[in-house]
Amino acid sequence: MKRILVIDNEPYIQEVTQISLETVARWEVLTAGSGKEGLVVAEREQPDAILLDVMMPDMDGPTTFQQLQNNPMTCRIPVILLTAKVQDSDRQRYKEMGMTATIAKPFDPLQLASQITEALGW
Amino acid sequence: MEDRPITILLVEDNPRDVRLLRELLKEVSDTQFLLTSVERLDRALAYLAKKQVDVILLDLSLPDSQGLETFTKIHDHASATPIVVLTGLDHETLTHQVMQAGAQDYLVKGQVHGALLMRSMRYAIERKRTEEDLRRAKDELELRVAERTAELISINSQLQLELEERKQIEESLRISQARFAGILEIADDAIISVDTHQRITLFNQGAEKIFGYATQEVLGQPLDLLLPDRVTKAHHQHVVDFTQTSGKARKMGDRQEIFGRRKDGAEFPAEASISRLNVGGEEVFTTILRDISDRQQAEKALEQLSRQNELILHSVGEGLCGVDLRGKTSFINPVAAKLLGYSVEELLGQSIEVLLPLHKADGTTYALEASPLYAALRKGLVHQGMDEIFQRKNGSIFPVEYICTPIREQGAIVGVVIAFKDITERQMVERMKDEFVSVVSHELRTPLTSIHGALRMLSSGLLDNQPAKGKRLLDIAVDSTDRLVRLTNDILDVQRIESGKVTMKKKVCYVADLITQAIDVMQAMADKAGVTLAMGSVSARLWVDSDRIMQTLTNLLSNAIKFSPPGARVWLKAQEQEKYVLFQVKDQGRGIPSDKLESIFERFQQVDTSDARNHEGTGLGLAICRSIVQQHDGQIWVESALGEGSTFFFTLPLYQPEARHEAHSGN
Repeated sequence: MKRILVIDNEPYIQEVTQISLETVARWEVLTAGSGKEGLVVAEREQPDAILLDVMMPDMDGPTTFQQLQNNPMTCRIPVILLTAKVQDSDRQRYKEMGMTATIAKPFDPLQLASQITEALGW
Repeated sequence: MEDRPITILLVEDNPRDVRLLRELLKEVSDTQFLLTSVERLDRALAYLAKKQVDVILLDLSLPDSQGLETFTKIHDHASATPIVVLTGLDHETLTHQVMQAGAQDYLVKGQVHGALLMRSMRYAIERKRTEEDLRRAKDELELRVAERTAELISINSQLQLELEERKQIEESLRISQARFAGILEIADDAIISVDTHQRITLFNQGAEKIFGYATQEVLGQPLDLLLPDRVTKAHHQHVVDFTQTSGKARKMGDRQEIFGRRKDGAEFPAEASISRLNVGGEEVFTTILRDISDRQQAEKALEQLSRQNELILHSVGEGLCGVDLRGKTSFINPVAAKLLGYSVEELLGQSIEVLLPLHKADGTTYALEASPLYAALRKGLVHQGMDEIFQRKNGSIFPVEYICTPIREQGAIVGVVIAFKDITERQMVERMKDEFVSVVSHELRTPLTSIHGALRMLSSGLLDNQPAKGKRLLDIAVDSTDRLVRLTNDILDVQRIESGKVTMKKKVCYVADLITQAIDVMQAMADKAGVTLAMGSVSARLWVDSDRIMQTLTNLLSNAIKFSPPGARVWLKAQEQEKYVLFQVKDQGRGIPSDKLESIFERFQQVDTSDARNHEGTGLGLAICRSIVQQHDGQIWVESALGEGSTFFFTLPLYQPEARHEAHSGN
């Protein structure tokens, strides 16, 4: 069973994502409401993958990603960006930064698990 | 003659007669004689050729000549010498002939004695001398007459010449006068002469046309006839001054603008010059006058046009810069100079290269020749630059949009006009707009993601046997829908208020009523949060849209309650000031960081974006409050200390009855 960490400052999105992955793929879902919290949880829980929101106050998605990369304890965890802001230029930029994939909001909760599976080659 | 002896040539071939005559002469003791005798004519002639004598005594019968011939030959040789002829008794005819031929006297041989001889010779000499004198006098007289005649002839021809010249001069003068008179008559300018009493003596056709009088009407009339009443006095003084100026006989006055009066009384502006001429001891003043009404109108029109152009040049918001074919600025407006950081004077005549967009928007540089503006200058084509950079005097650059249009004069390109504007602000606004759209898009997508996700899960049936999760997803969907509705409403609201599309329905309101109502509305929320509401009011009246002010007050109260811990207090107070009422909404919440005190009034600029979710806000409440207050000519701001609470202030103008009409008509 996979363990997924969802980092999103939107509680409802956290919840919907969680219910979706738990129900559809029967994965264990961990949540964090901010980038900072996400860094702590990721290091402590060592999830199989991280779903990371882009637009968050205090520490946005790309910054959080860099911090995860800078930490040897978290740098190997694949990160999938979950964002409402998906222009081709952004997608390209995120890919260059080393993120595994980008999934657009609003996402289909029934397809989300399979999108992650496919992106990570599970 | 008495001082010297009388010289006598005796021509006589008879020795006895010679001797006799000598004897006779000796008898005359009072006179000295020097007598030379020759016996032949040829000798006499030879002698006379060499010497002059006072008198010749001539015997006509000589060996080599006889009679009258003898006399004639001697007389021809010595015509100035008196000749006394010696004849015989029977020679009466001959005697008569020689006397006629010029002999002074004759003596008959044998009847001659000393005194007679003497007297005869003296008379002969005297007569001859008198004759000579007479002849000389006559000659002299004739000479003089001839000289005088010649002189007279010369004078005469001189006079003739002068007469001819005079005729020619008169003819030239006549032609010149005719020409002058013609010019005088056909001249468009009025030519008017006046005498020393300022009575009109000359009035040409030009004057007739300009003033509307016939010449006959004005001749002899005072010049005042042609002047507006208000200037006659000044004119008189002017003429007096002019009269008193000393110096040249003819002097042109300085040209100056004056006014004339036509026959119909209409005044007109004129340009005139006055000159004076002394004719036969009398001064004549001549004015040459031109009606400049049309010219003045044209000048005025031109001046107006020029002013308009100047005004346009100065008032247009765009920088305008004229450039000639050499690439030098020919004109520049203040806006252009200001945008480029120069003074207008500094830029005039400068090479256009100082402001050419040598920089591209991305910071790289053009070669001068590769600059599109430079190409437009060279080819005279209209060129529009949308995304280029100009350089200021200090070297800094700014983004511009410009249009470069050729200036054509009679088909030939003589330069270009560059109209440009600094688009820094526009680019900033565009960026802000992009950001806003991006934020709005994010704000809309967020609840939408929750709604979509929740409903999709529910509709899949996967949660049919997990009713608690299903219920939770439904709640999420409903909440998110509410948020989406609020957000949509607020976005539309703020947009409409800011753009002025919502009219504030102003009426007279009591501050106390507004405060009481706001407290009533928010009381339930305060109770729920365990927050106490306190109020303080004034009796002032306002001229406001009460619904919108209520919206502002409840919004601020709602924020204050949301950020207050349970048990805290929130105050709503009003205070009357000189022209305004100052409202305060004070809380004891967490406070606002100083760097956010300004930005929280911007759209989607919550202190913490998660506040929007946690506290059901849209991130637009304060932006709406600010717009409403500004629409009422008020101001809004916040003072805060972290951990101690915040106070929101806003002002609204007091109701002023005298200003109501304006406000009514405005609505």
